[in-house]
Amino acid sequence: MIIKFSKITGFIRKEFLQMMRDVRMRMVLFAAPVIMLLLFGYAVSTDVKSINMAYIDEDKTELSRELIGKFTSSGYFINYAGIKSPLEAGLQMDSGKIEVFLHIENGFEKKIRSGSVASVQLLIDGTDSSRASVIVSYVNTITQAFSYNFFRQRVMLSLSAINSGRQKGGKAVKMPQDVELKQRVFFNPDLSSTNYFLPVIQGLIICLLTIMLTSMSIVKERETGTIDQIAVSPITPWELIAGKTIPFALVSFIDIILITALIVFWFKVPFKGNILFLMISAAVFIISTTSVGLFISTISKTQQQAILTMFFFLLPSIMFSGFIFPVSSMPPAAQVIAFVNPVKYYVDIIRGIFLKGVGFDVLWPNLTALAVIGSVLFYVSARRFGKSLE
Amino acid sequence: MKILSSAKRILALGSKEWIQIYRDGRSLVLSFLLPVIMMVIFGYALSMDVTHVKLVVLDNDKTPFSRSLIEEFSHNEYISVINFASNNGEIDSLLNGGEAAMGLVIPVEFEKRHLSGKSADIQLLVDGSDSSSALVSIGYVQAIVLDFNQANEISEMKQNGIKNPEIPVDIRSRIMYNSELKSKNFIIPGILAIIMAIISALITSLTISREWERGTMETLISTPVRRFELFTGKMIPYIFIALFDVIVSVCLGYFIFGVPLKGNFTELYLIALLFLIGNSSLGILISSATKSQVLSVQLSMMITFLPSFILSGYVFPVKNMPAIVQAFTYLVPAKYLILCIKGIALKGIGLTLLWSQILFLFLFCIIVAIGSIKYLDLRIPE
Amino acid sequence: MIEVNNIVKKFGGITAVNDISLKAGKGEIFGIVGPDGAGKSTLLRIIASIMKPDNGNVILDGTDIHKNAFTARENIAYMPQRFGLYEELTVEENINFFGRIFGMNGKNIEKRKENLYKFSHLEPFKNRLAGRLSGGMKQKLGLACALIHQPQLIILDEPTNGVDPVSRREFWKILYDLLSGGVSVIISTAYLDEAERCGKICFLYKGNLISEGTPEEIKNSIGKSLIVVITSDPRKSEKLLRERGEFSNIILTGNSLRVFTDNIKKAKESLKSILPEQDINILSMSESDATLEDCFVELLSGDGKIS
Repeated sequence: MIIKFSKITGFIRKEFLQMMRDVRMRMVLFAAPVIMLLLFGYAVSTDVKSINMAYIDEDKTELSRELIGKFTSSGYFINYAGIKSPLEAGLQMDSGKIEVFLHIENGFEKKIRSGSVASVQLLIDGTDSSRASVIVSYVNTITQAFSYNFFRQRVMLSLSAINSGRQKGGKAVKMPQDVELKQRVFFNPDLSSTNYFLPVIQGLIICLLTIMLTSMSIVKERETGTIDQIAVSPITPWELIAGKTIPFALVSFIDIILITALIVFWFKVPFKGNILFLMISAAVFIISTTSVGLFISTISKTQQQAILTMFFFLLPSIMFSGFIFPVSSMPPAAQVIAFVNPVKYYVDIIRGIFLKGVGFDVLWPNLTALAVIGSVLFYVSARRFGKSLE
Repeated sequence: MKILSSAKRILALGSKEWIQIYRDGRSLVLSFLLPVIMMVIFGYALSMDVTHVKLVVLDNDKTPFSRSLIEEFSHNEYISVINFASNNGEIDSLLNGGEAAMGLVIPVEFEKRHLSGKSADIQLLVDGSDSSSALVSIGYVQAIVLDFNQANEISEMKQNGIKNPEIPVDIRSRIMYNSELKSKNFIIPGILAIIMAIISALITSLTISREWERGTMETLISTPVRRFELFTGKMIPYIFIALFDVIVSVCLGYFIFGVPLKGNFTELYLIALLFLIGNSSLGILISSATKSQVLSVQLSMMITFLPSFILSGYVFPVKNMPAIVQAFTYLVPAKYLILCIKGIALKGIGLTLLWSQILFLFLFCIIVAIGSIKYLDLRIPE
Repeated sequence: MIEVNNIVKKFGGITAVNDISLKAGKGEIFGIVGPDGAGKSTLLRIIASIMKPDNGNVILDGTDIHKNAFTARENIAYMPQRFGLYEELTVEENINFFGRIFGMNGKNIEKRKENLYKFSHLEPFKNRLAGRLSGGMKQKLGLACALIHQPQLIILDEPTNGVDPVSRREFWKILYDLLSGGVSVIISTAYLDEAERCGKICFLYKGNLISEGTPEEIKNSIGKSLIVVITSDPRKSEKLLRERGEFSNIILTGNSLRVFTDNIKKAKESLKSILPEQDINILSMSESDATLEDCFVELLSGDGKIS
């Protein structure tokens, strides 16, 4: 297993030049990732706002208007006017024009003021359960607070009635005070979902790029037969692998720097962590994904097979990475898949660095896992590759 | 007569294509089984339900009152109390390491303050990284605290023999279409659309450029084959495979994962067919334009993979995007398919309400099909 | 009857085909001869209607094939230089496919297949994948697929490249048999011995037509005679004669030197005087018929212009 340094660099240069010469390739390598980032960066937000809400107020009193006002002034709900009947509301919800429908009955204010129970009907579109959960949360907060407010007033009334009836001797019953909840949000105080998703895009784009380029370029040589020519040349398999993977890895690394810079300076996503640690993690990640590309190339005879295999890896690796779907919500059997998924570890690292500002001290298990997976894959692929050339 | 000979040529091309697919064993297995396997795996594993939110509690008071509050959290099905911390530092490190999503801090003299009629504060520390989950979790906690307060007042009154007043507003909420807010119900239909979008373009994107690279195209173009015949003949086997996948996946979703299918299956199928024709044409367009297998794959991956995921409104609502990006989403066919699938499966609506989606899909289909036929150069490239 | 008129084709700044015209009649084999890069493939592709010329036209039985490409293609068969059949399909599947593409129905295909198998000897391999055939068999399969629909014109681009001599002979036998059916064949080759077998040939060099006619006509057109000299030291002889510059062209083949001359007597005397000076023995000297290869080289030495 002798590796001649000068031969490797020569081979790498040749691959590099070959890669750069093709204008289309240059576009794919540099322009495409940037375009993707710009496009997706603006798209990845799950913030629940602009909720279209229609209401029918059959009471038209001060209190009913107050309740409606609480919705419209919250900033989350947008009034969708022109609904005249619950049937119409149902239709509009069917076609997706409204997500919330509020129906206040006649006699709303009267019942509240008189100490009895007023009812309010709400319809919420549950199709997108994530979004709907947040909407339900908002709705509950508003309505329950509204109700509770009057509840306390009633309690105060009762108490003052009782207390005034107990004026001579006897303890006054005091109004119990509430437990107040003070919340403090760590790491992402604006609760902006963009900050959660955007940094991960960097990893996804690079993952896609490295795997694709590495596996396709090797399989192409295999398909056109040039790999046989290489096999009889004095290059050792290791040198060939280095030549095939290093140029792409380098380009990917440059891309990561480029994209990260865009994320921080253009999208203004806060970056609290250590740049050096980010670079190291990125490098390890690129090695992992390149190994995956290498592995795919060793098990595919044609480019079509390579693509399908690639897809078979890529889609699950994104789904099981925690990018959108939290790993902790998965059943244990499925979590095993996440356990061997290099993308998952990188996602945790990225989020840790960007949002939480933590570094090696907290994230070392992730980095180690990434390194281990990468090396194992690389070793296995390299061996298979070497064998296939014999 | 002309139509007949066209049809014969199309059939000849279709069966040749089929034999090629058939002989490439691995591709065959992958393209048939892959979508189905993925549906099963994802359907089983993926969830966005916010449940079992990990909460760590720091009780600095350790009084009956503080414990009664903590009780409320333990009985809640949405929250799991995983740990009791002994100091703030522990909470911090648990949040940092992602082992807990929230921390509840009960101050000293909590009970004392409450009994003396003063307001008692508790602090909730929240990992805001995943803002959606955070918002929902905060909502849970707020609801718990509100109930706690309400219950306290009621019991206070009871102790003093006072009849507690009625709760003023009876809020009757009904969640439509997906009453238990099961995330599976929107995840699975969406995944189906995405898988279809990616695979159909990916597989066909190779078919033309491969013929150029292998040299068979040169022979083919010297025969009387017309462009649209080549186009149609090549697409037919792939569409069949994809349709098969659709049927299997829908059945899986319905029978195994309990995703409802309130609407009409035939309508769903026809819409899927429309989508598949458009998407497969896209693959052919890409490969005719690039004539290189490597490039056509990269291009089709980039055009279908991430956009279908991110720009289709699947997880990230189109409404949230800036206007320019929203304009782009109009070009993503997966978006329309997802709306149709969700509409038919979950809402039970039909073609009448989905007409604008269908129109877009139809336009997409026509434009791409015509484009790819035009681009199919039946002449040697210069 | 096919007429190729004044075809010009340029790629970027390079003229690949420069004003070439030729005619081939029914039952005629027309050979386009030239080295790599001469423009043969480009010309053939234009004749096959798969590439558009910048200038000129191709008329097949009165129809301009570029204006009516699809109808013309029903009567044309084209075999590209690189193996252009489907490697994942069997021999039989390939033949069936092309039959159907050319509009034949099942019965006709079966009938023709019998015939095709007979001359190609491919029947024992009919279920073998085309990719697994030997070079010679691949070419025969290519020819079979080209012939299935009984075209009037067959265009073959260096069909015997890299094929063993026995298969080559069989291939040409098939071609001759075709001629009796009135089929026109246009074939390109870099092998001059194959050119001898054609009815008419033209020489192509760097896109230009150097000469045209039957092999006999071309040989006669040179207007020179050929002397074959065998010496004791062929290499040294060649070097010597080149230095002297008296003969425009000297071809070294094996042990003998072939020399063109206008005047045989003068040439023989020249040789007898030059060679022995350097201690080279002339072992034999005779007149011979020029081969096409000789002619080609001779023509090129005249700056590639039409002589």
